[in-house]
Amino acid sequence: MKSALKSLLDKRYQISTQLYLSIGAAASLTVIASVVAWVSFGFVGEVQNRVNEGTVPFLASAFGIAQESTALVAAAPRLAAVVNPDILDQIATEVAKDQEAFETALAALIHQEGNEEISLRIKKLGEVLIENLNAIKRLVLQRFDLTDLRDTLQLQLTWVRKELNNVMVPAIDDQLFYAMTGYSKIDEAPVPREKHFSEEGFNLYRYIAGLRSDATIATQLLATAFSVSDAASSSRCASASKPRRAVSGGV
Amino acid sequence: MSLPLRIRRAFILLAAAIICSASGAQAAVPGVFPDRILFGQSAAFTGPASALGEEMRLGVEAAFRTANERGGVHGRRLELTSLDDAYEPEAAILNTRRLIEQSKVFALIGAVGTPTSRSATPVAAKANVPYIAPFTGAAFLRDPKWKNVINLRASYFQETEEIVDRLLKDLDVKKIAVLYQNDSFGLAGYRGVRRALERRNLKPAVTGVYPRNTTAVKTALLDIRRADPGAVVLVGAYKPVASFIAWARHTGFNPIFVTISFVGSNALVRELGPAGVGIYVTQVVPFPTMENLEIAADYRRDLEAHKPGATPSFVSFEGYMAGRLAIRALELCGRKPDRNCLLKSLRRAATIDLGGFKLHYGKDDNQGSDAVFLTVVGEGGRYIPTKKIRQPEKR
Repeated sequence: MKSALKSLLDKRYQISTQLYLSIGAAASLTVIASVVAWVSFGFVGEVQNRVNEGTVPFLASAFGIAQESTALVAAAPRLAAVVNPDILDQIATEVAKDQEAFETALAALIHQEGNEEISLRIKKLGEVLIENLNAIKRLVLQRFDLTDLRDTLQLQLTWVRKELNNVMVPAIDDQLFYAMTGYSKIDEAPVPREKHFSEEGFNLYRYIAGLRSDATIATQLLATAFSVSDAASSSRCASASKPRRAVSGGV
Repeated sequence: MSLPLRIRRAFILLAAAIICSASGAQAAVPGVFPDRILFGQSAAFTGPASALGEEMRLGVEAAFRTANERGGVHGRRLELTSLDDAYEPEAAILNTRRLIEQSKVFALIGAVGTPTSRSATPVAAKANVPYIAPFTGAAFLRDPKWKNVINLRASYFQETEEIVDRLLKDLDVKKIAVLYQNDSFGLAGYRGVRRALERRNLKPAVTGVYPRNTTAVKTALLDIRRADPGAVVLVGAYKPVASFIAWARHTGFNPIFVTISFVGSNALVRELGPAGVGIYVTQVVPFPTMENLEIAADYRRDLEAHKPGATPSFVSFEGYMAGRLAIRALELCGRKPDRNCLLKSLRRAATIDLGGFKLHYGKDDNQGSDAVFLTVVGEGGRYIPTKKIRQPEKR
């Protein structure tokens, strides 16, 4: 009985020791975990700070640039398709606003540290894009000038053709009438038949008729120059002043 | 009783929004401004048909001037921008484009000629710009497919029908020749004569053709003389027609000469002088000197006010009527005119009374008047109304 009690007392001491030891270990582990957590949170906070202050603004600027560059790229066909100077001014104003927004976004990107290489690449491509837009605007203005010039020349050609007709058609008419009737002026009597109905008179008639035919062909050939399509005119303009190409794709 | 400040502000904002939207909608109608309405005209102001363009412009301007002096139409002045097409179709196209795209006119008025109108009408139709009272009776402009065209005058078919009818009924002249200009105008007149003759189982005795915008009519005279017709119907502008008649008379060829309204009656008489006596001309407007016709009296008074000393003429009277027609259409449209309203208001109106000269339009009828008046040139170059054609006196 006594030994049984002693053994029980020993076991009690073992259990309490183990219990104390366990509690001690648990406490130590908790302290260690807290330290690890504290260190980890600090690290996460640091990373988050880096993301908040570096990556997110960079991404926002990049998205901004992408958005503005898309608007600028979309403006190119609109500019090219403009049909009158009023609409060109209106679209040019819109493009100028897009361009300003693009440049602001680009400036924000360049100011951020650590992205110098990619920022510089985007800047170069952006400059090419803006230059191309300016080239399109210049070409469209040039196209308007050419259209005005074409209209003026077309009017002049019409006038030349009319003047030629005014001179040559009555001359042919008069000559034939004279050759057939001997009348040349409204207030004069006709000349004798042997004088007007002659080989010389008919040769003169044939000569004037031939001259008129040649003049008609010449004015018709000139007129065909105006039937050149707008697309053909535009491609000639484009080859005269080619817009730059981005080195590696668009922005 | 005063409304709370917040509600008052809301009312003010609402009113401002309504005013802004109303003025915005108004600005959207080309050629209509708060203080004026802009009209455009492409016509001949140079070349052998220049007198027609000048007279038409004079008439339209006289009508507009009087309306403007009375405060305009619903407070808006009427302005006219005229461009010279020299009676050339290519120039008419360019002018019409310029008037629509650059000058941004509300409507086109008083165009002169068939070939020019044939070129300009599709341009105007594409932009839905009203094409009011062109100085031509060509059949194609009477086609209901042209929703933007408003004709004032009778057609060439109606004029040539009257000529053939009178020649046959009054003198039984069956040998009828036609001199015509080699373009759509000349062909329209020639077709009219041919149609009128075919209805009576006849056909033209001979035809002579001359090139537009020239006075080269002598070859045609040689052709026509050979057939020795009893009458010649002349479808051309005043200069070539005058030249043809003068040369015909000089060479002893004296049939009955009849011409249609496009010739420009006053200009023809000026060109011919005494040689013009006895020439018959059909007119599509009443005598501008008529005493008992209100619009004729208005025209003479307004013409004198606009250009003192100007001689009343059939062409400027037609231009004046064109101007009055446009004014009437704008009055019917109210304070917010637009192009569709202008076109529809005339077609919907039962009768448009232009001071005693009545016009009738309909859903598929874009021609206001069917009236044709026969006139003859008397001594001193005066036009005299006549019901019958008589044999010319021996010269």
